[in-house]
Amino acid sequence: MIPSQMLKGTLEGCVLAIISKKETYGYEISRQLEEYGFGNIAEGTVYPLLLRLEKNKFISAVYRQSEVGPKRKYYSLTDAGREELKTFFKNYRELADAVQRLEADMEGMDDE
Amino acid sequence: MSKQVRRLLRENNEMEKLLSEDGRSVMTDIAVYLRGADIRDIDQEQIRRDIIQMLIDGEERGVSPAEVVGEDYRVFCDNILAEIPHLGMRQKMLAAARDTLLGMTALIVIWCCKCILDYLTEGGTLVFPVTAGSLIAAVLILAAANIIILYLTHDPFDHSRARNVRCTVLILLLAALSICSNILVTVELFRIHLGAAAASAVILYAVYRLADRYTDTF
Repeated sequence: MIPSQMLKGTLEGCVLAIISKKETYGYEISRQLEEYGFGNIAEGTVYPLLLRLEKNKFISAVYRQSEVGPKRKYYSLTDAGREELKTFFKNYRELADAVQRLEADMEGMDDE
Repeated sequence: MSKQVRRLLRENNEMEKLLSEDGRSVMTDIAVYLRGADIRDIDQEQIRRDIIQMLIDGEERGVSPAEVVGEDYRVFCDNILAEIPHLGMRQKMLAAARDTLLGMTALIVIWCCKCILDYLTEGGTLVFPVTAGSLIAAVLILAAANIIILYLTHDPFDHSRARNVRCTVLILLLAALSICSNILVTVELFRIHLGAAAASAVILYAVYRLADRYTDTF
């Protein structure tokens, strides 16, 4: 299980990535995050992130009639969101590369 | 309150009926907590709509509200409120003034009704005395209304008996203070004709409506 503190900085970008695939809604996003191996993330954790992404105009939302029950809020990526997603992946790769280099160096030390 | 907010409020009330009793209870606590936050009415109702939808979807899947939004409802609400623009000091003061205007209107209407009853039962003139006690009581009632709202919206997720007792004692204390000042402080400040009092209520209500329309533009 990924520690929540480690998830904190990346979850926003990951939510953006999931929305970039197709227009989707809150529960579906948390389900997909689980499928990708992020663990069980409650819809209540995802919702404030969606509000932040919407506030920053990275996503837009529309209400559509769901098959069951009342209207549901669907999110899609905006042009600014696509740019933000590129930046997120670029930053993440830099971070992952740096951690990998550090890990490789540590392995060398273990051998000694 | 704008037409858009009123419509959303009605729709949310209808949607909330689709929830189970447990869901409605959780939703009530969340809504009370949001009411106490210094955010716009429209934001309150839009957030409420999204959360009701989440809980309805959760119930369709057979999961509890705690599984949908997390165990700590207060943290969930705080995380949401962190993402919503808050009202500035000027906006908060205007909103408080608007609510006070409505409160004053209601109190004057009640006072007018009491005067009409006195006139019908005892006769006399339509000019009535206003005592220092009744003014103190009015201020106390308005202050009490604000204190009770602050108290109720501060932590609605706390259902402990101690909190309910504290709340009841607070309400009784403020009511007793108000009644006592009305009865014991009988110094007459001025006299006013019932028509003038009714006209002042109408004017205050008109100012309230203007303020309400203005605060909708926040």
